[in-house]
Amino acid sequence: MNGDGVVIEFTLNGKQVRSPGSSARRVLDVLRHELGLTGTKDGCGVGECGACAILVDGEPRLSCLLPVAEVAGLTVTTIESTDDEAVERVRSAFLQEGAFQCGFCTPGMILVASRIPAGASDDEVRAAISGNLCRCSGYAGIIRAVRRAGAGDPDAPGEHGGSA
Amino acid sequence: MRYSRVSSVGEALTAMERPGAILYAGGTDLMVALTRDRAPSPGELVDIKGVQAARGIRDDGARLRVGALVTAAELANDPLVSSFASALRDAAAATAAPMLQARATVGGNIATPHPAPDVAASLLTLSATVCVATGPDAVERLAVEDALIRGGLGRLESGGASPAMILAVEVPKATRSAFGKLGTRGAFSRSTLAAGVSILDDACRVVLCGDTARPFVAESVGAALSRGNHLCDSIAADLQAAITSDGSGTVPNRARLRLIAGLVRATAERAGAREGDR
Repeated sequence: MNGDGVVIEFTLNGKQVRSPGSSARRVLDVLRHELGLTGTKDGCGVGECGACAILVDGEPRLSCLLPVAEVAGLTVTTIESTDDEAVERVRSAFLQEGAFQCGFCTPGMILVASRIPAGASDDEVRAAISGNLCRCSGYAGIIRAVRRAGAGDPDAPGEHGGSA
Repeated sequence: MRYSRVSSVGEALTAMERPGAILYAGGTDLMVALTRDRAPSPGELVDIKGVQAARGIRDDGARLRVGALVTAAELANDPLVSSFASALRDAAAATAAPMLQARATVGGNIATPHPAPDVAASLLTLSATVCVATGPDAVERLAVEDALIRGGLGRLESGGASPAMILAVEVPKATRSAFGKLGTRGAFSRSTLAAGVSILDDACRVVLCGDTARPFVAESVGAALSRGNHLCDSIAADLQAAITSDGSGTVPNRARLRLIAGLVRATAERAGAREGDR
């Protein structure tokens, strides 16, 4: 996609940034190739795997389907963020639960999980992360981590196991 | 490629007269097509999400008016849709995963019903009408089946003699309807098989998709369902007719016919079909 001379400005992880490329360029490409933030993963590229998930004004969005012009003036949070308490809480829970294997899905998974309401059941967690594929099939640990982060009791009986 | 925003139907139609301009809303199909080079890159993406006339869900008496920009997530959680168009709610809730539901629009699913025509199929189940703006104050109404038969309105939007934009759908209120689908993965899958059932004025209407290029009204299945008859032969007959009309697909084997029959019966039960419905 060629440049169109429009500079897009937005807030990225608390800092103001500018993207001078094409306004129709995918946010995913701007993050990874213009701004050097490679924590956001380029997975399927068609919106099915969730590895590219980011938060736009706090809402989970697929950066592979989003032209950068759509985030002009908005707040974008990626896995590199250090000032989002909910993201930090989930990240910490993932570490405590060892909720990753290869780690490719982890950035998107953590960002999406950070918006799951506290106390969500296993089924609600599964539904919320259903657009985030873990190819290692490590869902049991992921669900435990999400529930730990949400102050749900990860040792609650009868709710463990299964896949999303 | 340029990106522009419009806030009215008139602006959208004017923008479409610019060479290479294409309407853009949720982008769940368009962005994939562009980035994977399956579609020639347009000169301009015209973002229509600011067009208020294409937003919102409202009660219009005998019908619901659903704006073309309403997302699957909005449909799945709307009380009016739940009460009067359960099939539409079911389809929206079964469309992909939350992040896609937050972006995918009603208009987009009609304009580009492949590969996941769940919302379009549920609108066909409910005998909805598609409102297409052909001028700032001019609206053409099409039955959903006509819109789908015309290959989706994307063609109308981008290559028609004059610009046009899907504005809304009008859905006759039906207190008894449901939509069900089967896929390879429960939480998030494209349907390999889907069925919609609505009962309006005690008449059963069944829509099937998964074995043909487009969802279609399975008239014999609806009749057989009402009479309490076995469904497999009717399904085979309706599929054969649809395939002949479509020019693609094959009539499935007996095992799949039974699977379709099971899905139709389960969906009809959820819709509230009962003996005596025509």
